[in-house]
Amino acid sequence: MRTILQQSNLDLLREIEQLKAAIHERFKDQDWSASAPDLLPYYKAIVSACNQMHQRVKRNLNHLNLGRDDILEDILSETQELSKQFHFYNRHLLSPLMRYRDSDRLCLRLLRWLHEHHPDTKSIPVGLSDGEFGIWPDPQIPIVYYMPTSAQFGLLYLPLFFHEFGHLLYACHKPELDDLVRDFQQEISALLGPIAERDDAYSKAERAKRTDIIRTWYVWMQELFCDSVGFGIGGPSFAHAFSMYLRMRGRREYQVPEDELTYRGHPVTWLRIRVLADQMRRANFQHEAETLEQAWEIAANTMGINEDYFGYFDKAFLPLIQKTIEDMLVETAPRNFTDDDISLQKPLSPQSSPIHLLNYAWATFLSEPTQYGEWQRQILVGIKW
Amino acid sequence: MSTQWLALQSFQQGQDLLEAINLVSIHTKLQRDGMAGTEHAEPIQQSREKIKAFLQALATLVHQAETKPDQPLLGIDIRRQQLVDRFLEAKRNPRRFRSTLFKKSIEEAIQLLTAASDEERQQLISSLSELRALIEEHIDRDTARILGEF
Repeated sequence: MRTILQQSNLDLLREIEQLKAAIHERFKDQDWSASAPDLLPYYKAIVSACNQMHQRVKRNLNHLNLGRDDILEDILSETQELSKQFHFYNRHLLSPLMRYRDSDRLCLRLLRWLHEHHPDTKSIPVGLSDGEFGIWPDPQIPIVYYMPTSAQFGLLYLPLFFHEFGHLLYACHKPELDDLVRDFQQEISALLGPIAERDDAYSKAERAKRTDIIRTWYVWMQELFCDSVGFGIGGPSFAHAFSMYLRMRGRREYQVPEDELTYRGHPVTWLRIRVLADQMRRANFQHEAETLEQAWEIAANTMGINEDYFGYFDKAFLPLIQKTIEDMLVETAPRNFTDDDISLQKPLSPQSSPIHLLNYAWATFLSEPTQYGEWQRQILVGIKW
Repeated sequence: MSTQWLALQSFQQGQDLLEAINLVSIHTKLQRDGMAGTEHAEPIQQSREKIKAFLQALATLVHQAETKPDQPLLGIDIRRQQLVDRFLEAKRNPRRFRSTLFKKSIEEAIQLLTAASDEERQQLISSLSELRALIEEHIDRDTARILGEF
């Protein structure tokens, strides 16, 4: 076992050193810290993580050199976990550095701005990678945001990052927000009615379904919170991006079979639209909320789909959902859009916030969709990096 | 919009905990034989605190699950729920899980983190070893989800 562990640790040591050399090589010939200052903290965090893993391997080798058999099981576990951690970095966290291209600067600038506008995230490094919108929300590691490649070159889908940012805020405030979700689960449990005491098959099935609904809402509540963070930061631009991105993805965005709802990672998108529209109305965006819901209703009617969540949602849940979200927003305090951010009368200027730019972009697209591409090209050329 | 974040959080928490368990386990074995130096005192203490915090949180959930077995645990994600279920299952398997942590109580295992006698240190080592096995098995699924399979 000792020989096996020595080999594996020496191999890991070599791999880490090789990786560090590759990162250094990738960036040595360009003054990239000047051209991509928003990636610099991420670069430093990755190099630092490699150094920490290097130290852990050396510690393993030191422990092996003690010559004791009784700690081999501990070193084995440590070597395995370290290998997995290194593999995780290799597979997911390296790509923002190794695939970096100049076009990343738009997304990185927005993400850096986003992190800097919250005290809990301002020192957390950000990177960008290709893929479906997503995030690895752990404040202890550098944060990677994922975005489909084509979307990275434009403005319209950038607001969807704000939803992902919500996951990071949740992770930063997990104990407090988990408590709020627990209270919410207790309340919907009460709304679902008393538990049948009978021991027949029907009652057992009802109890099981009720438990499934309550448990499923743990994750759903987090997703709805993230949607609200998205709207709170991005205003109407978030609602437009969210709706446009998802509404043409087919039937499953409108209705999901009952047996697939249990522990589903997200609420059905149509339900998320309902909650988002409700939030917009309460923020005095009546017209926008109406337009948003109508688009989904028209598409659903055309497909012949009736709105049905099979007991996983009831209108009586909505006030509880909104109350919980409000409390979560108070706890996490994300930046809220300002009047200037959503003003279309106020012209864009170098001093405009990114939120103003994104709302302007959506307004331009919706009013002049065929002219939008050229408008966006000119705007992006005009941005000084 | 991916939900891999749940797997990541479970994976990272498991990784942190396993590193802490391994450090304390090695240190306790060296200490038992009078070979532990003082140069790593701070990381060892931090690791003890990490294990203690984890066990305290687990104790609360296990207590809830044991006293109200017909009610779901609230305010926790499905992976944490499954970890609690796995712990309760392990308690019912005395042939495999025989340490203080599973045979007696989580609270008694927490006390062992400051063990001073050889006997207590041995109990701590056994408890950590079994806890490690439980956590490793638990995060296997997260690992597969995050890293894929070859």
